[in-house]
Amino acid sequence: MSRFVKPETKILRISGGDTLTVKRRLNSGEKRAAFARMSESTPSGELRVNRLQVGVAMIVSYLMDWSLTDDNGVVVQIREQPPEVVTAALDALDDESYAEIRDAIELHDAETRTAREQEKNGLDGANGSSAISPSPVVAAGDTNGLVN
Amino acid sequence: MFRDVTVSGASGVLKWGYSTAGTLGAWTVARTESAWVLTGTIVKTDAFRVTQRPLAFEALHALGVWRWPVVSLQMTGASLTAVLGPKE
Repeated sequence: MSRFVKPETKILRISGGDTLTVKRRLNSGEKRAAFARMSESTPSGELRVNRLQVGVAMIVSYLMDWSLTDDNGVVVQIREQPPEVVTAALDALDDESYAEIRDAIELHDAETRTAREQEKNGLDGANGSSAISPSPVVAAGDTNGLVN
Repeated sequence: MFRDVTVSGASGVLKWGYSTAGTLGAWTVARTESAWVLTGTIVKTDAFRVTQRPLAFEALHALGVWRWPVVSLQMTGASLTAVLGPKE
């Protein structure tokens, strides 16, 4: 199995027959982008997590499309839209709908992490290799060249 | 009936799964004797994703998206030529 994340999607069903199309699993770049969206700079230049942005950053990272319509029955387009557009659509939702979408995606994230852990544990048991291999230099009885 | 069909557009994308492997400027898809052939100008590619398979070519139109699977792909400088499978 490759270490690379396949860009696959999954459909989550929520109330009212609506659906959310989400990324099955985030790759490292997508996770980094999520952390960037939930971070802010302090006056001293350090980064800290803005807790108010954690939920929406997680949703924006996973959510690719949905079936949600406006009052005219027209699907509100978020597919292939930049994060700012998706965030604006999320911000326009009523509280209950936003919470439902956040909960569905957080559950999906938790399930994905659990499945990944189980997968990794299975793999570890299968290949039987040690976590750390001795370097060729150590194995040959040499030193690292440092002198006190 | 459709032997000489040619479609073209001002922009399109190469997709690997949901992710964008490349962006095209002007493109043309032409029907040859045996296949659909895409030619286009490369605007940007993702160095990793464009090496992955399967890829698909997507082009937005007034009523939605045309999507063809990419059977084979050749990039020379900013030019791209690809053999496409049947439109999905």
